Amino acid sequence: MKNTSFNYLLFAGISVLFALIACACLKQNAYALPVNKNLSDSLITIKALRKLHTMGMAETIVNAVYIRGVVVANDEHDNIYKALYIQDNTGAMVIQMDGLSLYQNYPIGTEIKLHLQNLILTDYRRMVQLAASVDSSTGTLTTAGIPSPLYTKFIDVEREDVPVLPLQVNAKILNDSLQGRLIQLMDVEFSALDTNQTYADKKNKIGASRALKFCSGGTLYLRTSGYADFAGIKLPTGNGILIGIYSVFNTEKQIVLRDTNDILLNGKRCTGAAWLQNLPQKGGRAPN
Amino acid sequence: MKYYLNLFLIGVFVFSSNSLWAQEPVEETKEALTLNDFIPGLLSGSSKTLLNLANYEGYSLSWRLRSENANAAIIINGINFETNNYNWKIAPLLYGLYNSFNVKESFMNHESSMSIYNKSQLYHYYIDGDLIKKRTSVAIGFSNRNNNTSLNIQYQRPQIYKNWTLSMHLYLQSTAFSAPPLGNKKTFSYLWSLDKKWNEKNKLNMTLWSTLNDQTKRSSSVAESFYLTKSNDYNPAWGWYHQNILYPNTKSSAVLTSTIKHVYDNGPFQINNSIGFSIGNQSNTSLEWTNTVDPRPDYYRYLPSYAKDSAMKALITQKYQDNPQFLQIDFDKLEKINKASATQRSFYIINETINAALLLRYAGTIHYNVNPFWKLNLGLHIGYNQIRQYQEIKNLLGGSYYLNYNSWINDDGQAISMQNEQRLPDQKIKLNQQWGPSFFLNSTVYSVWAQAANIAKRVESNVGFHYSGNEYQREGLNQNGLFGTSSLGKSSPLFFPSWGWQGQFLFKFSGRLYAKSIIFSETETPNVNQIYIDPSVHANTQPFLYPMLNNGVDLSFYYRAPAIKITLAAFYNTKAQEGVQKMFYHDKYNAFVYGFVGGIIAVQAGGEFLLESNLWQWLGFQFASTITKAVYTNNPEYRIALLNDLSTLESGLLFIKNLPTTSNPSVVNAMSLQTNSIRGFRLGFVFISALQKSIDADLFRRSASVYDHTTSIQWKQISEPQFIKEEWLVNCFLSRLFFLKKGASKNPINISLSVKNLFNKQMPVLVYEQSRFDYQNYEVKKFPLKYIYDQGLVFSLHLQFQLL
Repeated sequence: MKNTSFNYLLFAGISVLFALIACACLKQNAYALPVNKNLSDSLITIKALRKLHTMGMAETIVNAVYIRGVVVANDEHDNIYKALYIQDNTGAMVIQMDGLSLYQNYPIGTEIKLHLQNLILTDYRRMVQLAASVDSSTGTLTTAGIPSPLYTKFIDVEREDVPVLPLQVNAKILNDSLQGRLIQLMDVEFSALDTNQTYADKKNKIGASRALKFCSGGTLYLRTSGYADFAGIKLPTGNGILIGIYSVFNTEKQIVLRDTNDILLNGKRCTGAAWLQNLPQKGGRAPN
Repeated sequence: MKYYLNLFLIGVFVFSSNSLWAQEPVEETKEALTLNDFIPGLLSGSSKTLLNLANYEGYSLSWRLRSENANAAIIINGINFETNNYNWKIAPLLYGLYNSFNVKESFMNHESSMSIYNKSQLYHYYIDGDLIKKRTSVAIGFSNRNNNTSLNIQYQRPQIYKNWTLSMHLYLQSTAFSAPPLGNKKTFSYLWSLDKKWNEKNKLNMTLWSTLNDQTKRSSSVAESFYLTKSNDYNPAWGWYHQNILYPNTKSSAVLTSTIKHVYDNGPFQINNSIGFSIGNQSNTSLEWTNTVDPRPDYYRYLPSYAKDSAMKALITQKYQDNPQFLQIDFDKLEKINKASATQRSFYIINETINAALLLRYAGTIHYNVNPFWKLNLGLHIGYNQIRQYQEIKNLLGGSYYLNYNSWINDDGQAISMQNEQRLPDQKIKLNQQWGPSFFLNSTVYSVWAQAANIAKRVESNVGFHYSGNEYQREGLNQNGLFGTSSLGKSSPLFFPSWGWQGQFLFKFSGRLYAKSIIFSETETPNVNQIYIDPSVHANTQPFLYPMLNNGVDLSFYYRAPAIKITLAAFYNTKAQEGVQKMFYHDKYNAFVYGFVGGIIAVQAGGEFLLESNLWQWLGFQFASTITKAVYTNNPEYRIALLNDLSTLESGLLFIKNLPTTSNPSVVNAMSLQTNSIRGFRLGFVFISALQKSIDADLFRRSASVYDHTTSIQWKQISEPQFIKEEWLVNCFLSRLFFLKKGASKNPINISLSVKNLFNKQMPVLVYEQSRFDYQNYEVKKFPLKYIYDQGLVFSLHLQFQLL
């Protein structure tokens, strides 16, 4: 009897041990797996990429090519929405990205490698851009950015904190080759009619275009989104320097601020004589 | 059609089963029926067999008797520790200690169910020194459910010293690994109880117990995620952090409870007085974020279905199928974002919401047997609840501080709006510091009840009446930016009376056949979460705050014979003027809003059938069938208000008439076969099938506003109730009892193996419509249903031996 009882206990103990072992063996392996990348793409310049586009059309990039550029603008201050601006020494490009808070993964100064195969070269109101998909079924062309789960498939981060100096330009040399580039304007001021305005309508979340006048003549529009965190701030009334991203909206030339640190308009406003004289200005020439 | 089929099946069993009716009929005595013919316990209502079948065996199928079990009240040693505050749960009070108590289940028995919160079903957990026998038992359990092991030690000694009786209980439970999807669970509970009997009239019980519990929580997800991971075990609420698994969603409780109960029994008089307190914390942790990307891996925008382009959709699908780790949270990436911010500000944290409670109670009852035919029962219950809610940062995930902002508001461009504490704007919160809303929700409740019972030859009856008063008050400790005047300080106290009456009638056809009926009508106090719109932000109350009205009737027949027991019951309850409120993101207004519904009327009707018998001497058989129809019977009024200022955005009617009110299955059939002990072996099988299990519906998408803006096809897709296909499962158990001889004594040892879901059926235990809905294009698939699946086959091995 004693032996029988002991046998039962032994049997129970072995069963428990077996069950523990069996469960451990059947446990699913949950370790992370390495991600495969395409390492054989060819580098092209942004200028060469832009040449592939015909205004009003959408071209799908079928070749395994990539561009390399530095992030010059992102959505950190909500003036830019679902997009990154990158530039190399030949040009710049807007990349549509279907996600938010892009600045956290792609801060300004990040050098990235963008794999272009399967992306689409298109434009919005003559502003050339890269998108992940287009839809023309409704009669108008609507684009969608790179889906967030695919960021790491299309984008490799190569370096961080790469300095980018803005290109100094004046009104006469603003052209489409500067689209998306970080530019610096000298001797500019807001139109007298706009000096009482804010950057945009923050309360109603409505964007605004404010006229920027060059002392040497010429007008450019500062475009600000109603969602920008500085939208509700009053425009500076002086004259001076402004850094931003060059953009176009059909025929209208625009500049987009990254944040108010890029604007320094605290000098004396243009005098009437200098302004009216329209003297030729010293300044950089836009690259070919 | 299936309803009628089940009724037919019931009829077949009852009226034509020869094996069941082949029992030797017992002759009815020719003497007049005396009180001794009354079988005690009938007035206790539903059979425990049916309750065990539903609660224990049918749990995975969401089988709840009369859909009420979720609202069952618990009384512990005469005291009801409910608080009417959903932030404070009562179940953790007894984790692992249920076996310490005797249980009396009362269903709509108002003698003892004058619950302060008008629940119709009640469990009495009590310790009675007279029932304690000398016993020392040790039980070890193991389950493949995350390699869960438990240790249960009970020590009971009656008459240890001068009529003192001691009962002690220790319970430990732990998971061996923290493997997903369930994570881990740790429980440590102990109980200590002393009974003293001075004489035949006076006895005292003192019980002290504590439960400590910590476990991870599982989250639901959409069908697409389960498809991508090819696993019904998928849990999106965990991820990798420094090469270890981290579960941000957990729940914990640490509660100490004590009761002291004095019983004075003078024969005709019995007076019970109980006092008690419960003190402790219940908390939840979760991943929180602000001004940054949604970290949830199954967020709808990250899934292939969100991509409009088929090529992108295919690429995303391929990515997840090749790399399933991307469907878990990447905590290292979140840490990188936190560390990369210029000031090391955390955008992601793990936050803990803590509810700290102090509950004080007094309960007194007087039972007076006037004569053998009349009984009077009186009761008084007084309770005070102080529950404070606050938050602490448990993990900054690499950052140095978190800004004390409320991220659940609509950004109106005003810096002050997002401040949790406007007296300390832009406050930087460090690890383990308090932040966010901090407030008390205090309540005082008192309840009196009276019942008169009459026992006659053929009829037993009782009538009871109760009156309760509940007073609530909110006290805010922080002054937020949105509601500066109403967030800080004490709000006006709110008083809610409630009353009701119940009648029970029992008619004895014979010594075996009984009919019982219960009828009741009562008002119900709204719970705290129905009163205050959002107590974490302000003290404003719900616009549709009406007393809820409950009425009902129940008719049951019982047949009790040595070899067969049959129960047949029908019930009909109505619930009127219920209010519902919810906070959610409204796509039409692109804002967080509150939704309110008032004046809901619902009905719950159905029937229950239970048959217990022995097919042969060695084989026990049970068959149970329940049919329940629980639906809304009107189209109530609703209102949508903006979260920031409570301004009304829209209002109208909700078209929810005939929508199921519950996700419990409408029709359940269960059959159980158990062998009686044969050489110590017992074997049992339970087969349960469930039909017409509705998904949990979102009420607000069924509004007049949506109806006006959709086509008839769209409206049909949106408004029609959805049901899960028929589900079934089989549970079984095998046990062996043998005895270990030690000298002259024989110590019993029981080994049991129980298997739930023997055939490993993959079925959802929870399916619900999300509160987020595409109010712009009314596309149902944009925010699809969410699921949690049953874990499949679960076995438990138990070894219990009794030393004395």
